[in-house]
Amino acid sequence: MNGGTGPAGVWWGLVLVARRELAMRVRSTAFRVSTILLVAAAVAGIAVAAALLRHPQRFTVAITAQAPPAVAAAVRADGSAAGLKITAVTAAGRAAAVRSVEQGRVTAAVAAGGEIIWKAGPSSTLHPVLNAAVQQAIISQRAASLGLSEGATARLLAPVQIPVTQLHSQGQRTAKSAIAYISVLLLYLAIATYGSYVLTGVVEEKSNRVVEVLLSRVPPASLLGGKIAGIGLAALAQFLAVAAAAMATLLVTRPSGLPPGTLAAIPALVLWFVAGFAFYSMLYGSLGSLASRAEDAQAAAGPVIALVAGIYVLAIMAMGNPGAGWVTIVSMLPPTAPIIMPLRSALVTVPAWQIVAAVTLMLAAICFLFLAGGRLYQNAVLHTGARLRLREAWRGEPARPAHR
Amino acid sequence: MITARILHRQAQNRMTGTAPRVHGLPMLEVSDVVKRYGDVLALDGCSLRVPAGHLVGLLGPNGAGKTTLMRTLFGLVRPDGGTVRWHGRPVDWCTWRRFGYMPEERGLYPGMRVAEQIAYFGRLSGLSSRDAAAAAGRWMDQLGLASRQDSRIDRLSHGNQQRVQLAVALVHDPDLLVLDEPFAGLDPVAVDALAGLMHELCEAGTTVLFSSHQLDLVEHLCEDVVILDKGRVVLAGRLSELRARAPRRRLEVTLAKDAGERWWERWSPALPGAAVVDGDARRVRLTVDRSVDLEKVMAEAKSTAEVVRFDFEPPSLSEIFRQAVRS
Repeated sequence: MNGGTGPAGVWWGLVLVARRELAMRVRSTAFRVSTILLVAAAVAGIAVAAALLRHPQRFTVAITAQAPPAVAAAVRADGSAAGLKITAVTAAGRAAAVRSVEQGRVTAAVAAGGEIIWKAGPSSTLHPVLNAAVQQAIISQRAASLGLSEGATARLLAPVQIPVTQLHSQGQRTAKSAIAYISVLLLYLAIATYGSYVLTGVVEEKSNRVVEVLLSRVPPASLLGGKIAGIGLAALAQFLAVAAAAMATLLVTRPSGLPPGTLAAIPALVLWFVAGFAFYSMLYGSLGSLASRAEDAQAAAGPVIALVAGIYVLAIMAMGNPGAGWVTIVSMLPPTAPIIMPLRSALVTVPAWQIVAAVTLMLAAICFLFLAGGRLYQNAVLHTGARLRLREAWRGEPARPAHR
Repeated sequence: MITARILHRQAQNRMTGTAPRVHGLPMLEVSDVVKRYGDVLALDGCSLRVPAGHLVGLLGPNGAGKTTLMRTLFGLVRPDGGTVRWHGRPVDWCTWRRFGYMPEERGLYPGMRVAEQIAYFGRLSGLSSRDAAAAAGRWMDQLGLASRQDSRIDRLSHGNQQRVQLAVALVHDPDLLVLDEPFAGLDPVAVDALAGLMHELCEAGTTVLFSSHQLDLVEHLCEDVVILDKGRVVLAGRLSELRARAPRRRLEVTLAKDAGERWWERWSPALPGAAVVDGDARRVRLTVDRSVDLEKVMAEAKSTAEVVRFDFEPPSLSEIFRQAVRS
């Protein structure tokens, strides 16, 4: 005989319930397929991004015989200076060049008088290079006609070394935004998906009445706590698999322009997921217990579903201006912290005290929810029939019992 | 509907004159339990005692409070007042572990396999995983589920689901088994099997409390009944004693030949509390007070014609039930 009364008995039941939930989740096809897909997506996404960052962009440009003489050389030189690989091909005339652009065999063409031909809008990467090369070629022509020697022209046109200080490299900013967005998306999806598993799990046990058999053996705290722990562990296993795959791919591919601290951010993301899941699953579970049928589940948990979706929208807004005061505040408050804090951490440097404050508030909120949500659950979970109102469940006085 | 097996056992019990009980002291004691749902009083000072190893039928009209009372025994409903004791101690998680419950609203995990599900509930009741698996195997054998042990619950027939439900309630060999409407929806063969099993459990020392609306069945199955009405126990005790104690008796007189219309009216109005149920030229059935002078009735009847049959019996359970619930 194991377990017994008091906390030990609660714990015994909780472990058993959690083990069942975990086993049922992990055994399901949906879980296995989604884990494989997510891991594959993480590996492929990072590998492709790393490959794109490593290889310079390639362009082919057609240059007609009538174009200014030094253009081809200038295009190649300026291109490699800008980190692009540009191949210059010769076109018979303007008509042939236009055809090549039209058919997409070349990105752009340079014709007589330095005319640059684009298919549609100019490419933001290639345009400055072509523009500079044409300018340079025409200015050389003018310098020669003014009687300047070739050496003088070269000295005149020698590039000016302008000292440039970049506080954040463009590549790093892009990478940071991407990491922040992926973090938000992963956290949002994981919390919404696994939170709704807790919701449907609670409602299913009520609607198929097994809850009464269960509660004659284990306390409600074991049942709800075990369900959250079991589903949470399944979610964590999946989250860890994706995070480990992402970290391993990052370590192997070592993409250039990866902001420092990206690898360290992944464990933090996992911890924020655990906190966020604990908080939201408790909300999903306790509000779900107000419903008796699957049809009522979404309505009962409506407020929390809306809250999670609202935080996602808030996170997208915060990405535009991560330094704003309101972002600082919401990154520390419990309902929003699990998503907004990792987002802020990815984009700006967050003072340590703010992280400590966010974690402390989050833990306090989780403790409070376990007490309040547990009470709601305990009062509502045996009620059958119409959906309970929050106030009725809180007082534990369902106006109309289904059975007497 | 009742099996020959049970009738045989009852006959045996009657012959020996004593029920095969080890303990006679009350094990389960419910005292003055009150439960209020808003303005509805579900239990209104409900008290009852169930002796160890007894098979007790809990009767009552719909809404009498039977399910609430059963839920109270398991702490599923927290009473507003009163106590529930087991072996003299208030019930808690330790005692609930030794109780088995089959609620009226049957419930199982539809996607779980039979053996796994029975063993899981055994684990929740404190069995080790080995003991739970062994107990699941034993109950599947006993209830004829062995060939379905790897089936998902939602692939089983209604009857087999009921058996799994019963196995779940029994897997940890509970000391107290509480069954809410266990016979509802069962076919006659399944009713017989369940009734036989309940008897066997009782004889092995399990205390069994069950609710039912099938009064004939309860009358044949149990020696003890508790009748609940409007949240109170209105009648409780040994069925034989309740019947003997009942103030009314059934009286039936059959004559050898026709004696004309209302032949009984010559003497019946003088009997204490007499009420005619029905009658014809040869036969009359009536209810009378227990204090009736049978010698006198017999003499009166004989003066009409030869009496071929004379029955004087205590009321049936359904008559007792109606009487108790009406008042």
